[in-house]
Amino acid sequence: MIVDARGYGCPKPVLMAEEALSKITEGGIEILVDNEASANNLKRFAAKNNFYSDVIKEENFWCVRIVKGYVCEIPAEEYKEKKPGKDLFLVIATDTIGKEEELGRILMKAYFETMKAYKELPDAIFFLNTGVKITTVDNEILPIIKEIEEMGVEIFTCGTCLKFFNLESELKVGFRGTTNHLVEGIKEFKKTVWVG
Amino acid sequence: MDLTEILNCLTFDKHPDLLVGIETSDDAGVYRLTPEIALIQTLDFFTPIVNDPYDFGRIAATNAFSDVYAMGGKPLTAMNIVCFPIKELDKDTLRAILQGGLEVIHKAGAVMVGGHSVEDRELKYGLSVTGIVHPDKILTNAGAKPGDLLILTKPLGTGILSTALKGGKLNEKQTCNLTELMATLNKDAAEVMTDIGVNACTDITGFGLLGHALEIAKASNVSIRIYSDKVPVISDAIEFASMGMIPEGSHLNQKFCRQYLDISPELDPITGDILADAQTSGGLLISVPEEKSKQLLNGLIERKTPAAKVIGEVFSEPKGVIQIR
Repeated sequence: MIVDARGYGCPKPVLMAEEALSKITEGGIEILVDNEASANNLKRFAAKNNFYSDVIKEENFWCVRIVKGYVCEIPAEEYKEKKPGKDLFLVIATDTIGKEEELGRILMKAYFETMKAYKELPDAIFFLNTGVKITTVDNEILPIIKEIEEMGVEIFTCGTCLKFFNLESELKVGFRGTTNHLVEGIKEFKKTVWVG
Repeated sequence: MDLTEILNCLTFDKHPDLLVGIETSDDAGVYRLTPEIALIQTLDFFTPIVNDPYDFGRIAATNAFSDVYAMGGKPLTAMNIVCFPIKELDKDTLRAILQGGLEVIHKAGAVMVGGHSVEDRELKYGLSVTGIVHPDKILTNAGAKPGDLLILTKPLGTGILSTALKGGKLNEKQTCNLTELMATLNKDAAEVMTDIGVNACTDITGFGLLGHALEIAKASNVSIRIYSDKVPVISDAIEFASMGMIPEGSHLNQKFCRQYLDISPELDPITGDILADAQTSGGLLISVPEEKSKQLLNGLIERKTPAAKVIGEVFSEPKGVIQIR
C-alpha cells in the first residue's frame, strides 16, 4: 500500500502512516513525503513500534518503507541493536589512495561509489588528516558521502584536522568528531579498516 | 539560513547610539537615549499553536516579552500586532486573544499603548514591546566568558509537545501544562539575573537550545559544553519525540548546527531531537561566573521559575563549537 503524504508537514505523515498500519495486521506500506523532517519522524515512529523501516531518497521526495509483523521471529531488542551496528569502522586518513595523488583521488571516488552501489557499507566512517577535505571542499566525492550517510552510516570528521586546514566552517556532512570517537570506535567496533 | 543571506545583501547605517544592531543575532535592538537609559525594541508574532484563543493570546504575548528580558531590560510599553480573517472568525475570538495578551502585558508591569490590525487569511498575533536598560548593563550573546556556568530556566520540549498537540496526541492535563509553561513570563528569571549581574543571556526560541547556544559560542568567541543528562526536559517530550512528533524546525536546527557540534559517540538521536527542539516562549539561557552561580540558582528556585538547572560550561576552545556530553 502506498500512502502519499507529499504536501503535508509534521506530524501529519506520521498520523497517516499510523492509520494505514492500524488497518493491517502484517505487511508493508510505503509513505511518500516531500520533506526530510517527516522521513526522520517516520523512522522514529517505526523504531518506537518495533517496525522495520528504511528510507529511499528519490529525486524530490523520500519513500519510507515500514514493515509490520514480519519481524516477529527476531526479538525486538536484537533487531534494534542491529540498526546502529558496530561491525565495521572505517578510518579515512587521506584524500588519495596510494602514491600517485591524481590517480589516488580517482580511486578514492571509485572506492566510495562501489561501496554505495553494492551497499557494502561500514557502520561509521571517521575522516582525519587530509581526509577531511572529502567531507568539506571536495565537490566530487562529497555527494556520494552524503548519500552514504542517508543510507544510515554515521560520518565523523576530526575537529583538530578541520581547524588545522582552516575548514571548520566548511563541514558539509556528518558531525565533528574527536580523538575520543577514534579511540572508542577502534575499541567498540568488531573491525577497523584504516585507509591512508 | 535564508534570512541571513538576504540581510547580508543590505547595508545598515551605523550610529554611535545604536548599541545592539542586527549583526550579532541578538534578541532585540538597543538604542542609547541618555548615558543612563537605553531603549530596547523588539517584536514577535505568529500563527496559533494552541486551540484556545485566550491561551494563544497569552502565549504569543509572553513570547514577545522574552527578548526584552533576555537583554536584561525592563519592559515599559506594548503594542498589538493582529492579522485576522474577519470573514471567517467571529469577533469574540479576537477579543479573547487580545484579552489573553492584555493580561500578560499587565503581569509584565507594562502598559498597552495601541496596535495595528490587518485582514489576513491566516490568523496571527503578537506584540511589539519597548523596554529600557542601563547602557552598561545590556546582556547580549557576546558576553560569555571561559569558566562561566550555563543555566536554563525552562525545560525543553515545547516544539515536540506542540506538534503532538497538533496531531491530537495530548490529553487535557498535558495540554494545560504545556500552555502554562509557554505562558510563563521570563520576568522572574530576568529580575533575579539582573540583580545578581551575569555575563550573557539569550532566550531559547525557534533555533532550539543548540542554535541559541551556538549564537553565544560564536558571538562570545568561546566553546560551550552541554551536559545532555543535566538539561531539564518536559516529562513527556522524550516519549512524543520517539513517536515521531518532532516539528520540521527542530530537524532543520539539528541539520544547521551539526557542523559546529562535537558530540559524544553514545548520544542517542532522541536526545539530539530534544536539544535542537524549536521552542515557543522558551526559558532564558544565562552565562554566569561560577562564583555567582549558586546565588543565581537559589534566586531562581525562590522565585519558582519553571526550571533552574546548570546545564553546561563555557570553555575557551574550540571556539564557536558546541560540545555535547
